[in-house]
Amino acid sequence: MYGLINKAVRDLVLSKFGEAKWEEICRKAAVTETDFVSMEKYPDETTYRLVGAASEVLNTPAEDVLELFGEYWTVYSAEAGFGHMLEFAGNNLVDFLRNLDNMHTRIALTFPKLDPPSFRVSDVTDHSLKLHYHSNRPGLAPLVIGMVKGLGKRFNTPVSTRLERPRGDGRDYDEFLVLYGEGAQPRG
Amino acid sequence: MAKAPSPADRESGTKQAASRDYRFDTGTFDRLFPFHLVIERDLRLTRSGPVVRRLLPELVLPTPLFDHFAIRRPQVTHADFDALAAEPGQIYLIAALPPSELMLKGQIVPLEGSDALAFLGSPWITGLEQLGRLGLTASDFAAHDSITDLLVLIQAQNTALDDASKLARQLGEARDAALTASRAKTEFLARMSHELRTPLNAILGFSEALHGAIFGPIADHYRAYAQDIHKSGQLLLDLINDLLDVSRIEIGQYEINESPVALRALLEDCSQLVVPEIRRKGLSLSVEPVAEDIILSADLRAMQQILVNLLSNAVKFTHAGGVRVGVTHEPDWLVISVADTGIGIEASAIDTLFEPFRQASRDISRNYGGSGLGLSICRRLAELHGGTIRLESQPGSGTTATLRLPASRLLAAAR
Repeated sequence: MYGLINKAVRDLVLSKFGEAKWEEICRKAAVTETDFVSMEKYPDETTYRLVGAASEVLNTPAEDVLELFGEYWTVYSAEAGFGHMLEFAGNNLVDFLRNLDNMHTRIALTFPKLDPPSFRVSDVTDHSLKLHYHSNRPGLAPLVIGMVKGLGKRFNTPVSTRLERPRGDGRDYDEFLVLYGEGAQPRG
Repeated sequence: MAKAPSPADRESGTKQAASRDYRFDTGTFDRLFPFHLVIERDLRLTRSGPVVRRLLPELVLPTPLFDHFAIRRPQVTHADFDALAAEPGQIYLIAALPPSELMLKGQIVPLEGSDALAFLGSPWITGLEQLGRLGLTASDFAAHDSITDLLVLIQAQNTALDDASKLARQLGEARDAALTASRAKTEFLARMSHELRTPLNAILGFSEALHGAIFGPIADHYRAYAQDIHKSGQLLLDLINDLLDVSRIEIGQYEINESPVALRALLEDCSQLVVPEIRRKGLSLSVEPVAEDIILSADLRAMQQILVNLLSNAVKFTHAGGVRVGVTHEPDWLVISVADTGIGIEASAIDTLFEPFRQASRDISRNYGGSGLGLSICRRLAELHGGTIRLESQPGSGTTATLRLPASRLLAAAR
């Protein structure tokens, strides 16, 4: 993954849990080089190790760490110089999700080593849609839930997301039901 | 199995395709060219793309083209329909009126089957932030329009540049902080070394006085203790002097005082200092005879320090055989070598020996003592004279230390 992702993980931990926890996470993950360069490609394993170590150090399930990261990513990427790109992708939740795949295609042209996920939107109603998430990286579905949550905040739209059909049984994607606006259900 | 088409079949197919009349329906045309304009012969606009309509709601069609748009490029004073139709390859920049940020870039092509022209283009954008100001998002552009890909590319490159300059700044700050810390450490070392010497002089003086029993007779074992105190104090003083030299050199306060130095006397004096140890260990010492008139312009104390250090090391690490001091002349250098038949050094350890506080190995440090400062000081002193020091060694076969001094240091009479 590009260094930008690892930088976001670092910033998330530093901003929410402080430097001591970040250092502990790096120690546990055996990650010594932490001055990540945004456009440099790092092994996926580095990011997975950081998330795994964060889960242990923060005593939080890895799924929750990923969800937290997904939510943070929408804020971080805007602050890390990609704010205009996010604006360009849409000015409401549905348009943004519809443009998400095109945006990743454009980014893939820019970052040739990137292996970005793919998103497809279907069954759009006034209050719900289905989001199909394709990725060559396993186990990142909770990140999508967090990301949609972050987008809801970005567009000031109540939103709740649940994984309706995980990949498997010949299906190579996860299918999420995204409820938004009046359709959003408060999370219990 | 399908039969491959013959050349005649292929020609016939091409003709059929050429004769077909392909047309886009309006919806498809709108999706492909969301910023298009259709211009009739009387220079009225009769159609526009959906995004143009959204951005310019005051545009009620049909309407004269030049009431709402101005052609910025090419620069024309009077545009007529035929002139616009004449150059389909011409790039046009068309600005919305009243002047705003919206500028369309494209080309004007005739529309087949009609007496009209189509302007096909898209907004001329130089940064993603401009899209936001114009109220445009990704959905407003056709997939074939690569302007947005280029903007994303520029944005990514700008981010990479920001990143690089941030890293360079951090690196610079870290280097400055390290230099400041190193300077502070060196200054501290210099001050402490100086302060430590004052009480040490008292320790050395009084222990010597006690050992010599100059204040009256004392018991033998107290005299022995006094001698131990004096020896230890002397070692400590040597160490402090080395530290002081290192710190002076590091902060650039070590000044060499040049004076004429007779090479023969220098070699003899320095060799004499190791003679007792040579005898004690049963080693041999040979000093190549040099002409009496070889005079160097150098700092005498520094030269003595270098040679005594090289000789002391040679004697210290040699248990059989001996030490030989040689002098040769190269075109640009005067070369003084100190060769021994001692334990030698691994090639990989040679460079580290010139770093302060470094020795070849922990075993060496434990078994032979020493601060690990000597060679580092010698190299710096040689460099202050424009010279170099190199070590060549084979474990078990001995070591040769070579001091090269610029031939320009030989005074004219001796060259």
